[in-house]
Amino acid sequence: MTVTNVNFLLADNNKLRDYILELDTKDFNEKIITIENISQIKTDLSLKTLKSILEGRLFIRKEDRKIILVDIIKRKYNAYDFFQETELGIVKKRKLKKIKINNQIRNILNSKIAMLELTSGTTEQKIKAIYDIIKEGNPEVLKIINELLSEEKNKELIFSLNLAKNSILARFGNQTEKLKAIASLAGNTNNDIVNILRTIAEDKSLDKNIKIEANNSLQASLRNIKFNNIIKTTFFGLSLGSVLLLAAIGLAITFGVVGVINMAHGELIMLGAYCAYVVQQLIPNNISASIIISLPVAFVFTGFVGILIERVIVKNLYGRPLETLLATFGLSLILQQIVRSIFSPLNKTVYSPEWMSGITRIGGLELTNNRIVIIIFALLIFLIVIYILKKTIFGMQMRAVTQNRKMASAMGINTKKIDMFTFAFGSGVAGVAGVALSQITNVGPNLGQNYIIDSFMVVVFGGVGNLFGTFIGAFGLGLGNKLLEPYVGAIVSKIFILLFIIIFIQFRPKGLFSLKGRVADE
Amino acid sequence: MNKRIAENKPSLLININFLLGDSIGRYLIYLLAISIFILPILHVYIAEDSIFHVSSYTISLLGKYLCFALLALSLDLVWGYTGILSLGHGAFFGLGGYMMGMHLMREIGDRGVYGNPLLPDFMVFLNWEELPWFWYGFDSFLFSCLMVILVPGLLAFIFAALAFGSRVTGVYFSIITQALVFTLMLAFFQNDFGFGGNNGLTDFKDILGKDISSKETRAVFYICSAVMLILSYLTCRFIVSSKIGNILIGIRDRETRMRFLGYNTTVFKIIIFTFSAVLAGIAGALYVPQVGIINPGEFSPIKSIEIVVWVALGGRGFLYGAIIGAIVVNVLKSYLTIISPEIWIIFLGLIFILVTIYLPNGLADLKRIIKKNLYDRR
Repeated sequence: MTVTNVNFLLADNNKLRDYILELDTKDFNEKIITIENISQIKTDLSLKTLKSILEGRLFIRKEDRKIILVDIIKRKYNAYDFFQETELGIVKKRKLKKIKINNQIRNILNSKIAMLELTSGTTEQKIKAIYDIIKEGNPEVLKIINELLSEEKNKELIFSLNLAKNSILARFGNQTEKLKAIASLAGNTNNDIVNILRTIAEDKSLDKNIKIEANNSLQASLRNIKFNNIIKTTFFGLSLGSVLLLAAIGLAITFGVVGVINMAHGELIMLGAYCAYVVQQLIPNNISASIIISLPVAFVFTGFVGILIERVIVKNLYGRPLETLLATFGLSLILQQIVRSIFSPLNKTVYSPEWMSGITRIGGLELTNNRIVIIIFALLIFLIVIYILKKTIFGMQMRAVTQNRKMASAMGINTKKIDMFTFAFGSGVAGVAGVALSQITNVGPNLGQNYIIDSFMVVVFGGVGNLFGTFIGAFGLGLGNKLLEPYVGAIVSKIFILLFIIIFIQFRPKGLFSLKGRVADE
Repeated sequence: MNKRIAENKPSLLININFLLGDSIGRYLIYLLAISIFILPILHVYIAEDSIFHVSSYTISLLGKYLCFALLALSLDLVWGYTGILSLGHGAFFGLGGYMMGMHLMREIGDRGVYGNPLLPDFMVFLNWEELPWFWYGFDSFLFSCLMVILVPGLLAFIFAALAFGSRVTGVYFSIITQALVFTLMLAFFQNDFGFGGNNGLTDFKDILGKDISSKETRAVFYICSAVMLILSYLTCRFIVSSKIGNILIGIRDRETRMRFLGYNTTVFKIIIFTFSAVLAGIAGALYVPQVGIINPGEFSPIKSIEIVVWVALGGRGFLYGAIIGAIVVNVLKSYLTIISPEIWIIFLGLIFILVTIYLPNGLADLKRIIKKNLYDRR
C-alpha cells in the first residue's frame, strides 16, 4: 500500500518536474497551458509550485536544469532544491533562469491557487483559504466561487463563500451589485470586511449612494464588534470567576465552616492536579478516561491528606487561628518541596481530551471549549457541595456544628469527627478543583501558591461561612478583573482588585454576606 | 482605674519578663555593644591573613542579621505584645529599603552604564525623558532618611487607621496585610511603575561620598545597624514596661474588656502599628546598602511570613526572643542553603509546624520550661 503510494507520488513529482521545465519558454500562451496542467495535479507540491512562481522564487539552474527555490535575502540568492528541500547555499544570479510571468499569467495563477486551496483540505483549511481570498480581494476568483457555491452543501462553507463573493462584488462589481453586496455585508465582524467597508465609505471617487450604504453597514458592523467584545469580556470574566470559585470553594468549607485557616489549601489543589498527571501516566492511551478517573482519585487522595493534616496539625491548634495559619503555611512549604523532589521542579503537561480542546463559534465569537467546560464544571461542583451541605445528614451535622458547637454536641453529634470529615471534604473538593485546573494551566509545584491569596480574597470578600457569598465573590471578582483589564492591563487590574478588596473589608469587615445571629458575635 | 490594672493584675508574662527575661535581654545587649567596638576594629585594622581578621563578607552578613533582628523586633511589638499578626511587615521593610535605594541610585550620578547624569540606568533603558516627580529630593541624604521614616509610617498609619477603625481584627487583618504586601509586589514588578521593575535598584557606588564597598564603610554600616538595634530594643523595652505596654497586653488578651474599661483601643493599635512599621522601614534602609540591592522580591508574601517564623521561633512577647529568633533562623538559613536549598525549605516548614505545636512561646521560653520541669521533679 505504502509502496504504491510512494510510487504514485513519485509519478506526480516527475510529471510536475517536466511541466516546470516546459515553463522555460518565451511563448506565454504555452505557459498558460502548462500552468493549467500543473493545477490539474492536485498535490501540496503543485500548490507550492504555483505560489512560488507567483512570488518569483522559482528558478531553473542552467547547468543541470535542476529546479530550485530561492530565498532572496539582502540581494543574495539562497537556493534550495525544490523537491528534496535540501539547502544548496548561495547561488549566483547568472547561473539561474527565472520563470517569468506577465500580468495575465499572474491573474491566472491567483485564481488557480485559490481554486486549489478551496477544493483541497479539511473544512477548516478551506474556510481559512476563503478568508485569505477576502483579504486579497481578487475579482478573478469570483468565477470559482460561483462554481463552488453551486456544488457546495456544507452550510459553514456556503456562508463563508457568500461572504467572499459579496466582499469581492462590493469592490469590483457594477453599481447595483455593489449596493446589494455592501448591504449584505452589514453587521459582519470580520476584520477584513470591516476594513473593506471602511475604505469604500471613505473613497471619494465612489457614488454617494454606495458610500452611504457602506457607512450604514460599517456602523452596524462596529456595533456588533462592540457587542461581541462585551460578550467576550463577560465570558473571560466568567471563566476567571469559575477558576476562582473552584480554587476557593474548598477553602470556603474549611475556613468558613470549620473556622480553620488552611494555608496549605493551595497545595491540596496542586496535589489534585498531580493526581491528574499521575493517572494520565498510568492510562496514557485514553485521555478522556484518565481525566474522568482522576476526579474521584484526586478527591479521595487529597481528602486523605486532609484527614492527616487535621489529625496531626490542626487538631492541636483549634481555637488558635493565627497559629493554625503559621503551621499550615509550614506544611505548604514541605508539601511543595516533596512534590518538587519527586516530580522535579519542571512543569508537567496534562493532556486535554478532545471534547475539551478546540473552539466553539457562536456568531462572530470564538470561545475555547476548555473554558466552557471549566465554567460548567465549577457550577456543577458548587451545586454538589450545596446539595451535600443542605440535603444530607452529614451536611446537616456540619451546619449544626458551625452554628452552635456546644448545642450540637449536646444533641449527640460527635463534633470532633464532624470537624475531621469537614476538613477532609474541603480538602477533597480542593483536589477535584486541581484536576480541573490542570486542564488550563501548567502543573508545577508552585501551582497552589498562585491561587492561595486569590482564594482567600474570594472567601473574605464573599463573607466567611457563606457558600453563596463565595459564589458571588468569585464571579464578581473574576468579572471585575476582566472588565478592567482592557483599560489598564492584566497586572494593574489585579492590583486594583486587591486594593478594592482591602478597602472593601474596611467597610464590611465580615464580607458581602455575613452570618447573622450568635455565630457572628464570636 | 488604669492604676488598678497595672498594679493588681499584672499579666503572667510581664512577671516572667521581670524575673528572668531581662537577664537574657541584658546579656544580649551587652554582647551587641561589645561587638560594636571589636568587630569593626578586627575588620579594618587586622591584616587579612590573620585568623582574627573579620572578612568584609562576614561583617556584611552579620550586619544583615542585625537588620533582620530589628525587623523581627518591630513585628514582636505588634504581634507579641498587641496580638496583631501582620503578614505584611515585609512591605514596610521593603519600602524603607527602596527609599534608601533611591538615594543610592541618585548618588551614582553619571557613572552608570549609560553615563546619563540625570537619569538612573533603568530609566534610560526604558527611554524615559525626565525624572518622575516621586524621585525628586532623593539627591539629599537627609530627605531620603526622612522618607525612610515617613513613607512606611504613613502607609502603616493609613492602613491601620482604616483597618482598626472598622474593627478588622485577627485572621482578617492578617489576610489583608498579606494582600497589601502582594499588591506592592505586583506593582513594583511593573517596569513603568518607576522603581526599576523586577531588577530593582542596584549597582550602588557611594554613600555620603564614601565608596560603598570599602572596609571602613562596611564597618560603619555594622556599627549603625547595631546601634540602631540597641536603641530600638531599649525604646521598645521602655514602651512595653510602661503603662502603654500594659494596655497593649490588655488589648492582646481581651480587647473587648479593655474597650469596656474605657480605653480607646483603636488609637493604641494604630500608634503601635505605625511605630512598628517605622522600625521595619529603618531596618530596610540599613539592609539595602549592606547587600547592595533591593528588588520586588522583598515584597513577596513568603518573605513576610518568614519574619513571623523568626519571631515565633525566638518567642513572642519577650523582645529579645525576636532578636534571637531572627539571628538563629538566618544563620541556619545561610548554612543549610549552602548544603542544599531543599533541606532548608523542609527545615523551615518543620520549624513552622513544630514550634507552633510544641513550643508556642518559642526559644525564649525554654529556660522557663526547663526550670519548671526540674522544679516539678524535685
